[in-house]
Amino acid sequence: MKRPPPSLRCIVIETCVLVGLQIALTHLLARARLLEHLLAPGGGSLVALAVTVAFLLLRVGVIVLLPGWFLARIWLWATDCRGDGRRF
Amino acid sequence: MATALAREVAATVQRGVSAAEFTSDSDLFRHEWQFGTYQMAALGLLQVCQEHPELRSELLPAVERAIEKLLSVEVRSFDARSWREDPLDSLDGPNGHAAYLGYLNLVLSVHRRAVPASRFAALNDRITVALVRRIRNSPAGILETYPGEAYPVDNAAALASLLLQAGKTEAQRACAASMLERYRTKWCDPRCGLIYQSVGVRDGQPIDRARASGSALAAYFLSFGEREVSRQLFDAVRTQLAGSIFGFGFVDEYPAGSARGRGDIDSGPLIFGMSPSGTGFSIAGSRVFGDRELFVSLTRTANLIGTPVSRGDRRLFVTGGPLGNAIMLAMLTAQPTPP
Repeated sequence: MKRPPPSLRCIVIETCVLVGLQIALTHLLARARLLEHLLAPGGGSLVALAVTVAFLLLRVGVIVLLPGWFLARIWLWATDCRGDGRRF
Repeated sequence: MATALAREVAATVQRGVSAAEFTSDSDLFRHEWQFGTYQMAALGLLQVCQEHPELRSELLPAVERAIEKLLSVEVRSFDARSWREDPLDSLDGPNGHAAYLGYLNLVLSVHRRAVPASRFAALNDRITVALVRRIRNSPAGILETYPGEAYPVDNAAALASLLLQAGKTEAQRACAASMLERYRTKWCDPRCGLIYQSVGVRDGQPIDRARASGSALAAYFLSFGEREVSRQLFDAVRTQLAGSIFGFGFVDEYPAGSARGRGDIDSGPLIFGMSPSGTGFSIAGSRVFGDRELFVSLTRTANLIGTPVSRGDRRLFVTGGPLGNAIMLAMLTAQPTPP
């Protein structure tokens, strides 16, 4: 079964959630110290390393990949709209 | 950005940093990082004072607080434990103490340029005399960092401190000139132009390979005292190791064609060969030598991974911690004109 294409509202909300999550995590993690774990992991560094790597992957995704992904989805949505007359 | 980061670093220095705040299982590394935080903070703040003289009255107290902490028994204990003698109480002795004295004396020499009537001037002179004597007495012309261990990058800090004081005596000038020659020839890998990370105490022969982290940091330290060898090291890093993905710059730890490894305490964990330390330290060289394109691309990466956030009139890197913020301040404010 073919999945229906996402609506413009869905595209915008998904993008805003990712950006908002990245900003919220940035301010949350500002209270933690992470570089030391990255440079010289100690016995209790596993959780900190996992959180840091996950956060950095999200941040790289949001800053480097998300703008292009968002534009591509908008373009696909716009070309799809032209075909069937949908707007939102 | 730099001013706001300087305020954050100054506040950290005034608050104080303890070795227990760092996460490494190694007691030596925890204390080295406490020392490194104050050392890089002092250099970075002095550079901001040089670039923005209007901030001297605000930032110089933090510089002098950092120096007082560097001189404290607590902070110098890591070196004293390794050598089984206090580095300042044993200045008349033969042991190198490059880990402590080299880095400390660079701060004292730069501070003295900024404040000619520095209250640390007498100590600066005593350490300089001790370093010159020890280098001249060393069989390989290199100061030991710890017993049986010698690192050209640590000696670069010591050498820069001598060069800043080199006008004083013929012995100092000759010592500095001969050591600079060893950076050009003996400690430099002729295939890539980078300096060896570690060399033998007795013969000066390479023990560890030529790498980005040591070469980029040495280029930064040497730039305080001279611009020829430091430029050669920076050029080697730039041409052999620097790259960019989507405009985000990076520096590899090892030259192309050599085994990569997983990284160590000097480089940080290598990601596809990319060196976190080498990338950060190269920001300084690109600023000192006016490579705007590299500076922008490396700073872009630092902002991506470092994740800066603002808090009032301060700015800090989320993944930085006290040491990371102090290092980034020093790198981002490295000066095109010597102090």
